[in-house]
Amino acid sequence: MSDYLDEFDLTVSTLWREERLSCPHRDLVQSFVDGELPPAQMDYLRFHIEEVGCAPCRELATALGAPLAAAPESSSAEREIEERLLRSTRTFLGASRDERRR
Amino acid sequence: MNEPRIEQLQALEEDAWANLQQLYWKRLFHYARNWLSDHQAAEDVVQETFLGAVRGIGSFDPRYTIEQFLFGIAHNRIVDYLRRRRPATRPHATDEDLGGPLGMDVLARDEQTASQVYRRRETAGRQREVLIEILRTLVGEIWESGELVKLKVLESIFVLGRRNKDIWEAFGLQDEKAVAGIKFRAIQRLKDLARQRDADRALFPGLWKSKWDD
Ligand SMILES: [Zn+2]
Repeated sequence: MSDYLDEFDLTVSTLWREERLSCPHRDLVQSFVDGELPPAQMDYLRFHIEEVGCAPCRELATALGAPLAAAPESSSAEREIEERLLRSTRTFLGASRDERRR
Repeated sequence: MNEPRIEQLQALEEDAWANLQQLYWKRLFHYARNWLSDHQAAEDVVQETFLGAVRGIGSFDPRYTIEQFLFGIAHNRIVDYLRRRRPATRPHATDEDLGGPLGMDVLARDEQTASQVYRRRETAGRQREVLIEILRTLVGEIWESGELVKLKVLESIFVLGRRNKDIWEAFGLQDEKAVAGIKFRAIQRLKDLARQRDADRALFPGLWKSKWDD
């Protein structure tokens, strides 16, 4: 897949996430939770929150009372990745602190 | 869980970094995973992102958020992977091209001189601002038009990394070509908007030869 995409696409993708370009306004999320949006908008918010799984919007929707299924528990594979990441960062932090002291 | 403060991160406090990692690693991983076909490469990207963040946190630019900082580093690592993997099919691609319209690499560089960093940051900052602005305009226009399936298509491509053939059916579109048409019109609109702000096409080299047109 990646070989076909160029860096411009990647840049747009990065900005899209970082800037949360398609995250709906809080009021819309509230109306979504209350089931009060026109069908096309309901459908889009469902897509954004449930299918894309936008974490900040999901959190907001839950806080506003949406009966969303809980985010799936971390799988054991995920826990392993997280452990490895933590270990490597911790080691690197230690080395960086040593270097500063010198 | 709250985001740790920059000062804690700059002091290299272990708990603050563990906290930061818990908050962001999954999002970064899914992001990398959408661009890199193999799992291990995606994990490597996330790992290198946090190591890069530790290295770069001392010169963190307060105009950006931590989220932008992390995604900026991850972006560069992904570009590195794509470059390494790609055979020399685009010999004309220069570093300038690959830095993309953002030159996002400047967010976390440590080997440049201060004046170089400053100059590149100015350009990158301007490119970034304008690109965000035109993307926001595009998204706003789609909302106004009420044709939200277009937004679903663009989000599927950019956030989920899906391809035309995997999208059209789920969204009730006629065929793959309908997806390509939505992409095509979106890129045309972006070009129009960019032209208004970048008449000599200097700001976004990538936009004018985007593969979106395919
Ligand atoms: Zn969102």
